[in-house]
Amino acid sequence: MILTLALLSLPAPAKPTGPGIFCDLYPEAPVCAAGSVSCVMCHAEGGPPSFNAYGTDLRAALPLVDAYEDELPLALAAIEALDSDGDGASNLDEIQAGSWPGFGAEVETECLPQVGTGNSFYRVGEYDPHFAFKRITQDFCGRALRYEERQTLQSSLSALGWGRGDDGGEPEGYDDARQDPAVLELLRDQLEACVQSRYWQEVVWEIGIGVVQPKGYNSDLYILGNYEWDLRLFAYATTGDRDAADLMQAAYLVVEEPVGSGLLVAIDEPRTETEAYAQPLAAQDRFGLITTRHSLAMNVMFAPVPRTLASHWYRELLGLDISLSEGLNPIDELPGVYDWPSPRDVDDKGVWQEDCASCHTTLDPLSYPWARYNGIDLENGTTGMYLEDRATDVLPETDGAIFGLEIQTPEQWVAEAVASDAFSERVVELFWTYVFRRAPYSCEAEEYDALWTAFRDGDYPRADASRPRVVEEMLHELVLTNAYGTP
Amino acid sequence: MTLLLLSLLACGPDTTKPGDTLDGGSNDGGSSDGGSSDGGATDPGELPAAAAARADLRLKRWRQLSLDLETALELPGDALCLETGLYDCRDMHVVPLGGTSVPNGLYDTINTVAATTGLAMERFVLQACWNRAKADKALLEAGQPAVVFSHLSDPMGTSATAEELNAQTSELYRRLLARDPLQAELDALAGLHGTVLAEGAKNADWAVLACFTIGTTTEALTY
Repeated sequence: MILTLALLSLPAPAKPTGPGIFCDLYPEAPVCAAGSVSCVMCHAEGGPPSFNAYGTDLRAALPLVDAYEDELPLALAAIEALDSDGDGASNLDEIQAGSWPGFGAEVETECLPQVGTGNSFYRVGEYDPHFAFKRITQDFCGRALRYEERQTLQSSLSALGWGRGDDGGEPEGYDDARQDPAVLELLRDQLEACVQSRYWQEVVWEIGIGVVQPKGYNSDLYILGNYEWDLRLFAYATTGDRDAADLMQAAYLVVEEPVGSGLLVAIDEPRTETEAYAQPLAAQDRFGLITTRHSLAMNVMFAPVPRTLASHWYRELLGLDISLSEGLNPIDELPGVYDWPSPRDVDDKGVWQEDCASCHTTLDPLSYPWARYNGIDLENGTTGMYLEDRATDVLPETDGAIFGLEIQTPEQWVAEAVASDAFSERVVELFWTYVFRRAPYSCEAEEYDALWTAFRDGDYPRADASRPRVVEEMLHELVLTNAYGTP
Repeated sequence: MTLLLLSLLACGPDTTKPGDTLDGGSNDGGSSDGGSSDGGATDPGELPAAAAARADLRLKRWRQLSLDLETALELPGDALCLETGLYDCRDMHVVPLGGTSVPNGLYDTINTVAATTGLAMERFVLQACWNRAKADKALLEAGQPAVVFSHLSDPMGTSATAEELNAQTSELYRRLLARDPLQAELDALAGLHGTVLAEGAKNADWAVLACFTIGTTTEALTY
């Protein structure tokens, strides 16, 4: 009790409206242009409640006499000239450059310029085709080069004029290995072979686990859905020449044929009664991962308003975590009723209240279009089905919104979603993070942005084929970044 | 260290143990483990090399570690490492070695080094080396040539020529690191031989520890 009182008595300046106010003040900042401001802009790396150096200065600048929303812009402006993290750049300069004003340069030693030359093994500080080839083999084939392979690689690259080490020289006319078509072909062929490997299939499956978050049993007879349908769909849509938009738009189902082979095949309809039980929706009602039996059972459950379903896929496939105040596009459904934007609170949960409304003005309209999809039904066998009369008492209409845009149907929801920057950035983030084990460093932000925008647009300068949102084509570009191939 | 090694080796399905007074020596990979991951011969006194400012190495995850050991030691995946002789290390240590675990609700891979990552890697490599040595011993007893540990004329003996030690070391370097050893590395492993035998162990024990030493260098475990 004493602890509770102590906590309640503490000033708590951070609120979900903070990121929005930050971006109102700095709309051109890269983090705002990308659509969201992370908590660690002000908080410590572990997240709230601890503050980083910038957050500490900001907190000190907040008198907390007037309304937080009024004070915050003034406090942000007041600390612009400070260098909170002591790295030599002002807070404003760092915000505008896409860096972190609360973390000093010491967190990214990897971005320091290369000093010193004279390495007989690596081209340190520049793109090294030997290094990149070896990494491709390890990342996408899952294994190190064998002794004989390494000898062959060195012979091949040396014959092209790219000897090992930073004194290995360059062929005439090139100052970067990525300009040499023969090098590009060598790397491309290796990646092409590796992404066909069983290892890479298993890796993609594992990345899918993070997105699907499987629960329960992998049985087609399980009432709450067999998550392997979801994982197969994830793997299918993110391999080959498929458009990753299928993650949310696929009307097909994916099976492994023959079982145990690792070969994934799309089918239009379930082939057996058991499969029909596992995936009961008609094709026109299917929307990729969102509407599998597992997804609906686990995320809708018994709720008339499927908020968890919407927020799960908003987070996992668009990278926007509403609980972290990401992707908030408030819709005031009751203008003039309260002093703040508010949702209708259709199921009488009290979400109209100011502290709830800051998220629910986004979350509730995001959920409405999915209200006809049933969650768990333990009595009538309608788990995971589309029911025309579901939740009509609280939602006679399912008009909703995504990204602040009014929509009427799930089809419109997913169309806006897959066309968004958020979707492309999220899919690239999933694969980048698996390969690199980390987010991009600040010195890699430009390459990273180019990567996901090219993924969105299908615009790869060095790719054989350029189609929007094809993961394997994006990977061909990823391995040519400095972030990947520069030791 | 001796106790640790003995207990690890005892975890395998075969309770045969190396010499009772084994000293594992260091596992610093001789002088080659300088933080560069490949061709990483970075003995500063012998081969000066500018360090990469990025220093952006990644630890191999369990599948990569397993595939590399399968290839290097020519063992099937399920014969590499079994804890208590029962539990496949690829399942048992999947999370600290960068995997996910659906039954435990661990959906995201850890991207840092966990408290048990180092232990898991060492157990994985040591058992793989031990199992390869055991398989080679069986081959020799059956009158067939050993696959990896083939350069010691008397595995159960207590002396070996410099040529035998260098040949065995080179074999392991080629298999585990895909390169030839530097002279300094040959010398370091020869030094380990002296240390191990001084403790009362056999040539074969040294061979397993040489395999373990090379297989747990930064060069072997990162890329």
